[in-house]
Amino acid sequence: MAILSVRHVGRAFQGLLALNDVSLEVEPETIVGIIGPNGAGKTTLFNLLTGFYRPTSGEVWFEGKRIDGLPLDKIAAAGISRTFQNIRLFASMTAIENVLVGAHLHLHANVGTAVLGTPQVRREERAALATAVELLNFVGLKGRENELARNLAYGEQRRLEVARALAVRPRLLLLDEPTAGMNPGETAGMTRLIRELRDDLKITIALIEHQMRVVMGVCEYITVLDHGEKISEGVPEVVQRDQRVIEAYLGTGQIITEGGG
Amino acid sequence: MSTLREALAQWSPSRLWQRAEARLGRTSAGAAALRHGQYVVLPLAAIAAGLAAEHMTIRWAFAMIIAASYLMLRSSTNLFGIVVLGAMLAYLPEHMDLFERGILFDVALYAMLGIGLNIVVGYAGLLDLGYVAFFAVGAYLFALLSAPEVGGGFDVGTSFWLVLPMAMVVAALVGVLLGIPVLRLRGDYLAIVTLGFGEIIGIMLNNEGATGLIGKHVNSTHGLTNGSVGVFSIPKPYFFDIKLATPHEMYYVVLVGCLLAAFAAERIRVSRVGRAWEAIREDEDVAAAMGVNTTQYKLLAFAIGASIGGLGGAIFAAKQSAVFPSDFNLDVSVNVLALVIIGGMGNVRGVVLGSLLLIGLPDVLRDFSIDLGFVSLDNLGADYRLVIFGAALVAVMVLRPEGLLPSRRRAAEFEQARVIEAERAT
Repeated sequence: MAILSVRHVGRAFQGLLALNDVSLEVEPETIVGIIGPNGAGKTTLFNLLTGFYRPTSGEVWFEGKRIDGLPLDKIAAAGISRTFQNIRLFASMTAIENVLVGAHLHLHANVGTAVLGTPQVRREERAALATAVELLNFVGLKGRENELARNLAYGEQRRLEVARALAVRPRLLLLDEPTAGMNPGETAGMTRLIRELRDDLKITIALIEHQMRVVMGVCEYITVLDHGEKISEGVPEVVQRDQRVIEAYLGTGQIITEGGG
Repeated sequence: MSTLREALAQWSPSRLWQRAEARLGRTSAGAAALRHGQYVVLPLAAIAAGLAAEHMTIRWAFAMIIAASYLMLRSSTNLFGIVVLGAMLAYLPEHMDLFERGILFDVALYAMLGIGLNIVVGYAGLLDLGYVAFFAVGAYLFALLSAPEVGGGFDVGTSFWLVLPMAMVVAALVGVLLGIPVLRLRGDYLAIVTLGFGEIIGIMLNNEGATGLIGKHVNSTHGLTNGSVGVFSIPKPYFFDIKLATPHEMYYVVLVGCLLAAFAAERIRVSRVGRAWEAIREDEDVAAAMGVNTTQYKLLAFAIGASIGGLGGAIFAAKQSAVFPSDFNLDVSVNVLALVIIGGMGNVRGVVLGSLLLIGLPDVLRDFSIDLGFVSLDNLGADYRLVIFGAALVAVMVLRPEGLLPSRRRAAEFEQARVIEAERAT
């Protein structure tokens, strides 16, 4: 039974088809990759899954519930969270506060109880802090808890985004170019982290990635998009040899002559 | 000139303090002085303020310097300091005349309004130019319920204290009413719509007299609000058997309200609710993607901010004994917003400092004069106080655009902007 099922989803922006009739299934506790040339519609797909956009056609089902068209916070509550291609941390908040915002759904303080400082609120706040510290340690940000997010190094910011997304306690985590702009050392660390997320936390992961070494190394199943359409899918070995994928990335290798001239 | 400006831009009370701290901390005597110094300095300062010559400017200068230095030291976690400050604030009006006590009341009232608006603007990042609406709602609620001639005229001897929570609830509801249509608006657009909302309330108060659309059905002589004549002879509230007749006594009411508002605002800020607001202010979509119901939390910010405004309004009406539509014009909104911005957005202590400067200073300047022997400008304050005041505001905004006591985040944001600008220049 697939945890995520995308059925014939399409999205048009004023006539421009960013995604056209894309279907895919994600099995629980797998790491799947979504690849394709620039402008293929990968991030648009993520935006459809997390509620940033509504699909203009098709349906998205997550754990047996239809989620397309739900507001962002309801989708987060359903169990999907994500990171962003262009890092979107709460830049003026500290690392640990970013993670605590991620834990929003799992805390219960409201205005009344916060003002009164009830024992429950204090207990829950202490527990949330401990969990947040644990998450920061897990992604390798030990000792950086009170640093403002904007002052973190680039690679640290990407990892903080992962920690924040994990604080939502997702069952499906969407990573949008998790290693973009990272040096080889940082990339290896992120790859290791992604594997740990699945192996230790049993989270299903879908990631968009341009570095083929990362994709082929970590993903168990790959979907290839080009011009908003799915052109191939399968295990890495198969996708790698697929003629359409090679064409999408490198061109057809023929000189196209047009009639007339 | 540029080096001067740089030096001034670098200047910050907390940075100076940090530098002094680092230097003093190297010796054991210095470290001890730092640790225990405030326990000596603060009581001394408080005594000095109380005993200051009964000349208003001097006393006010004292009070402000002490309050400002206290606020700047930021030892809010220090219970002793808070007790000293509280005692000082309670003692301050003892030797003042009626006029000075009036100023003191206004400073405390506006500090409270600032704390309320700061929740909307500073915490949640929703620019609200119509804050006066909630202030007016609270004031008219109390006035209309209690005034014998125009309003309901029910006994407020003890029920004033029941009206206060009522004013908060009604103002909060009005806040939600304003919030619903502006949920999708951001920045400038939000500011314009809230501005209009504030004006609507003011104009309604003016027009709903005996000939008003609703007013003529309510009462043929007074209408709903008695129009531009206002609501007068509002009875004075009682605290048990003590009649709260003067600004001096009402000052204590607003002081307690102010402290409660500050306490609540601070508690909320560091809670899950405060973090959700911060996240919305930083990036609304991402906040939603992390599970924050942004609609609900924005309305909540409007409601909480409005309820503090309503509370302030009810206290204001009780102190004034009469309310007029002209009390609730754009000036109130602008003053409250200005003191939040100048004091330092997002920081309760900054707001209190802003109120001291913005509300206290113009009146204190009335007495200001220069007499150097060869040149004597004895009406300087009376004639030019608003010019001096305006110049001071311009200076603060040019030199410290983040406000006098910004929250840590605001300071960081402005620092970032400064770095980017410097990079662009090279």
